[in-house]
Amino acid sequence: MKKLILILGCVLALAACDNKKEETQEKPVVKIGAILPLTGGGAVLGASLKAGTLAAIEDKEKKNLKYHYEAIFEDNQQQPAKSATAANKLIASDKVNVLLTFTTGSGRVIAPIAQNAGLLNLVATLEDENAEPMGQTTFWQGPTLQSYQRILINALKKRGVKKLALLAAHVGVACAGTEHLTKLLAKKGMDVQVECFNPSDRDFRLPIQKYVKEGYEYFYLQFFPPQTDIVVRQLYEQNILPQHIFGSGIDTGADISLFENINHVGGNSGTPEFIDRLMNEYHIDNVYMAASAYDLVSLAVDAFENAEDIKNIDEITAYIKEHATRKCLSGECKLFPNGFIANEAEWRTYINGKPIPLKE
Amino acid sequence: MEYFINIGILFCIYAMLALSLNMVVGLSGLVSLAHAAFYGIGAYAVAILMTAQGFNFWGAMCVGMLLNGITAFIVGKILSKFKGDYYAIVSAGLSVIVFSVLLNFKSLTKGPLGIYGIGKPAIAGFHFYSSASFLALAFLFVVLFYALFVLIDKSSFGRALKSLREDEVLTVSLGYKTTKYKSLIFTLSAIMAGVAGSFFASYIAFIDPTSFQLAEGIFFFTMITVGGLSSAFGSVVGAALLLTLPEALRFLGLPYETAAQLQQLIYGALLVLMMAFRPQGLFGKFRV
Amino acid sequence: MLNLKNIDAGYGKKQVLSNVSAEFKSSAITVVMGPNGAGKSTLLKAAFGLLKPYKGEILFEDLPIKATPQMFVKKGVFMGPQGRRVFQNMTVQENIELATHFWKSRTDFETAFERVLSYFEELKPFLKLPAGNLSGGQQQMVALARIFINKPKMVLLDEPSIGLSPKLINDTFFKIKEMKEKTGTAFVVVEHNLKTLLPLTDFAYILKDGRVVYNGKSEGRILEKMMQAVFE
Repeated sequence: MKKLILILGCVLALAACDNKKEETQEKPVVKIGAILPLTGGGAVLGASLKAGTLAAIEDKEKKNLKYHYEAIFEDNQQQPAKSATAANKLIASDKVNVLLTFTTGSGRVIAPIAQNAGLLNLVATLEDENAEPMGQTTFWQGPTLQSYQRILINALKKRGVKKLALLAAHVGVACAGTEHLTKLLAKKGMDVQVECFNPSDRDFRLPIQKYVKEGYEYFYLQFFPPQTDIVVRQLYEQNILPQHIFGSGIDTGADISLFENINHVGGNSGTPEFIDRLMNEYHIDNVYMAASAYDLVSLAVDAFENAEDIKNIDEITAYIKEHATRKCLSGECKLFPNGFIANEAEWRTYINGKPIPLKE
Repeated sequence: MEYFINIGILFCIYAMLALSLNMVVGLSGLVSLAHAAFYGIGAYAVAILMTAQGFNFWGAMCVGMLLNGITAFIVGKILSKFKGDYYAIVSAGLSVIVFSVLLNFKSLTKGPLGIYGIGKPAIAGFHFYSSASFLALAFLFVVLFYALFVLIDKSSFGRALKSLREDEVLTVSLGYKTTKYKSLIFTLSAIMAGVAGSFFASYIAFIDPTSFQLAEGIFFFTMITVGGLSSAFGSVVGAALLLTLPEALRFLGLPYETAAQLQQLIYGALLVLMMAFRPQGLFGKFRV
Repeated sequence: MLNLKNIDAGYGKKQVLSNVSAEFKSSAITVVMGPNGAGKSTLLKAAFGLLKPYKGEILFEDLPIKATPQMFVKKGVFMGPQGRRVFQNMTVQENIELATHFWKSRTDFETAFERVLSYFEELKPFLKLPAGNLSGGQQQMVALARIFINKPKMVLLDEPSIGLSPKLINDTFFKIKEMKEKTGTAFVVVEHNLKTLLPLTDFAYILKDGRVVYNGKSEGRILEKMMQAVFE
């Protein structure tokens, strides 16, 4: 008798499990194909964007939606060729409805592929606000290079910085933007020395010593992992205090504890609650651009929910063009004609491992 | 289908690189790490000339071939003074130099920002816009390169290369001008690598210097070592294997928290196993 | 036939030969002897163009030339370098074929190949095997075969006796003498010490510390005395 009840119980339980599956299967699934650096030097950033993506889906799914949303992640190791194959795999094999990626390079590789397949392509990246559009179905979000520069110039002037050594990496817009920045800083009466480094460089000690000797007591850094951590460590070795270090891309570092009290300009990381949630629930230390990913995914979900036909790319892009300018998690979002959804940048520091915005 | 066609195109590009490198490393015994440099020059020639100067693909590719030919001829002369490990180090130096130029010569190459919007080839009004047609064109070149390899392998030129690979002093004492043979094969291989680069630039439509670093050259080395040195078939197998293996791992259905990391682990483990059980490569005829 | 005048030669900064002059006569077997480090190999390499001398002149058939191996093989002078007899991974036939790479016509090769095999009957069963499978003595035969297929006017051999048993050394030198008598080929043989085989040769040079200390017929009391002085 006991055996019979046990067996019956199991069968009922199984039936109940099966039922639940049935329920979620009723709603059609919209798949988001995210192509991120999950291994390699950029893995820290990939992990952050992944968390932002998943958080956005989690929040949206709390409401009663037409579709069920699912993210599929592929690794591109920050290589353009791998972005292309990942995009093709997600389109052909996983039949995704929208693509999401990180950095302009990857975005530009995927843009024509997405356009050919009639799919939306979203890119989280820091970029020049006057950049060329990436493609008819591509939108990108992040802080603008110009807003970074505006905030930085203001902050430096307020601190009375006269001599600044600017160290940057030859990656993306990091070094490319320094020429213009130097001119603007010179106009405000600052003496700026710029030096750009190859992404493979690991020893910055001699240049640092040189600038210290020449009386440059303030340093401004623009690097990507793993150089960010290395440069800061080497600055500390030379007894440069965090108060004399500024940066952008500080928020790309792997070891956040290194950056305590370093003032830097970064993309808006979202609300303190969001930051806490990412760190506690998703177990990431660095929330770089997670908020931008969150905003892009939320916008996409809204577009799909409001579309008559989610396969009609013109409808989707029209919705995005209409609604991209809004208050988003990363501050105020503003859509430029070239497809750039600019979110705010902020001047901030790290206290106890958390990014805290500074009122200037 | 599109997915497989796109993998196929990448396979063609890597096969071209593997075949050309194997002529220098496998057939002639020259440990060259300069291949990524020629790959990069070929890619950037097409990228710059097609976007900024309105060249068509074939014209741009020819300029790339010419540039590579001249560079390889000059560098080849310098390299001929070195043997074995030193040859490897000096040739690696070329890769580093070219990468640095691509990264820093911003007015020409746009530096780290890269060049986008690279067009596709056309013949007599027919444009190779569809990936299927591009694959067919790329495959044609693979067949061409394969045939060239086999031709050289069986010719007296190939015999001279194989003998200087085995014993250069003896070969010289037989009256061969070995420096001429080494220069010739190095230059030919560089021109071929440039063709592969040109195809890569056109296919992916956006290039930046990070695709042409020394590490890429080491990847080419891995392809021919695993596939088999001094073998045309081995070159092609090595390219196919090392390209499709990481892609195949995407389909394993690993839990997404750790899928990417596990894929890397499995890929690495498979390479180690392959080399442990067959150090001469799958179809190798020669061990360095 | 081959004349070296006032040769200074060495490897980079290390000078080995000082003011060495030598005349290698046609249709004769000349032997070059000396202790280790005397410069015998260096002399042969400089003569054949494998090494560029710092100073001095080289004349072939009384005309000054720029010595290179490519040029010499076309003029009928061939060399067997020290310790390198064959390409181990190539077949015996391929080894011999390689030595005829500069011939204009391939059909000439067929007849020449038949001819040379008649002198080296013992190689016939091994033609399609990798040369590395053969014994030391057989590899030496292959090396000689690939030189003789070219009907050389002069052959330079650097220590052909290395790694061979006394009997095989004897056989090699008898073959050399045979070739000289049949075809008038001149030989220049570098050897460490050739006391027992001197009677087979015509002229001798003795080198010590990079200089010539004896130059003359390979017999006689003066030679004996010099050999005693140098080798004891």
